[in-house]
Amino acid sequence: MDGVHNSAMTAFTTIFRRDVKLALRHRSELINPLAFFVIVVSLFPLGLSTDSRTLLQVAPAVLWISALLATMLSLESIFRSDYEDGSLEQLVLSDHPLFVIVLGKVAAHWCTTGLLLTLISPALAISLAFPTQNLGILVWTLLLGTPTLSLIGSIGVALTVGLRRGGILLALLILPLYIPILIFGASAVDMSIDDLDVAGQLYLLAALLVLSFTLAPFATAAALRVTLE
Amino acid sequence: MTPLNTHEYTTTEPQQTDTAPPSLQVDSVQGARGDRILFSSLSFNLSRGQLLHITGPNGSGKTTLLRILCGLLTPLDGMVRWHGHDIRSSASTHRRECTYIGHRDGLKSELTALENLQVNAQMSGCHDTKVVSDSIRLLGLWEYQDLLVGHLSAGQRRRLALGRLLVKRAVLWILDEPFTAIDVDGRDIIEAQLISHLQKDGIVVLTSHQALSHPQLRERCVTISLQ
Repeated sequence: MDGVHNSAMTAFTTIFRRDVKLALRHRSELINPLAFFVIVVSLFPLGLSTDSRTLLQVAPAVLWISALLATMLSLESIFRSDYEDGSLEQLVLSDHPLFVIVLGKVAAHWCTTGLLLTLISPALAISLAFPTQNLGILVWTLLLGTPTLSLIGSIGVALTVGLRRGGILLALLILPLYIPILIFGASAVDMSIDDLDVAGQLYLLAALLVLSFTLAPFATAAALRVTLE
Repeated sequence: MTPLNTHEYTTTEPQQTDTAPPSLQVDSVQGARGDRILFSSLSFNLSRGQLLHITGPNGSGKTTLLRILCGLLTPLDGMVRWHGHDIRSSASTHRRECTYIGHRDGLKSELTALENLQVNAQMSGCHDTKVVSDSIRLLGLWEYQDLLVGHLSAGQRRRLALGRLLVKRAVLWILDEPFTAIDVDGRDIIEAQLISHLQKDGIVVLTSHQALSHPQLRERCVTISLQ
């Protein structure tokens, strides 16, 4: 049993390290979602008004929607190149459980997108007149929410990666599933600005993360097998 | 749409021990791509030490058959058995004992040749760095090991893809056009590997438009011709 556990762990770390290395060598794919996030958020103060109250009112939604769209833009990279160069076939045929490999790939995707978005979000929040004492809650919601976005997104990508133009279909498939995360994430940030208790929202985000962590890798693995048929 | 029966393909009888039960049994398999049925009622058995050479014109279903044999595709009808068990139900055993090299190399162009083979080795449970470096040397890629795969030639990439056979050491090798883009030297290297694999009671299934040149391969070879 220990041997099985060890080999699954090796598969996870091998794939994780491979994908992080690939992301670091493919700079444009690493920077694209971050640049999108920065550009969209920083355009709001220019287009809306310089009145800090108006900005603060929209800040939670702007930050969360931009982070969500930036993640969605980067989703294809989870499986696209592996599908095109034949690596995906090899991963599916490897003797490790496919959901472990999927977890490794999703973890690498999150570390190179969601985690980075979370880390730069405080700087962008300040440009929206966000009160500094509430930055912690913003970071917490993104830290709990963005891995869920990556996990759910991986199901959608696994289903659409075989299609030539799967982009719009991918958005239609996963946006409905993203909505609960957006609602709880943005409302937690919103309520924290009004000094209300946000523990409930944070717990819900955490629960959604656990739920997607336990179910999404299996769904993605099944979707990949169908895609490769 | 021509149905292909067992007796329709040419068999060159190899020297085989009749007592050994067949390891790979293909039982009236029907394969299709989209709506087009490529072959049906295809049956054959392969025992250890045998090589199956699948020939046929483009689009005759060679790749489809290989993908069925390695479990990527489900046949429309019929069954593939590995050591007597359906490969769909005992998928993990079959996957552990089988290596498939498709017509796409499955290499990452942003990783070096060495890194690619290391990832492949680790994923197949081989953690011996010596095996990886020996394989690289054997494939004639020693001077190129630190080059990004994106900078390698098509033939060198093909050699590196075949390196997966050397680090995994599976019983069943399923090779889709292994000699594409490969020069004479490379072909000799690969044929030598095929021979030593067959001598160690391995099984090889391959598609190739060229005939196998080595006499030792030909005497162990069974040919199936898809129409």
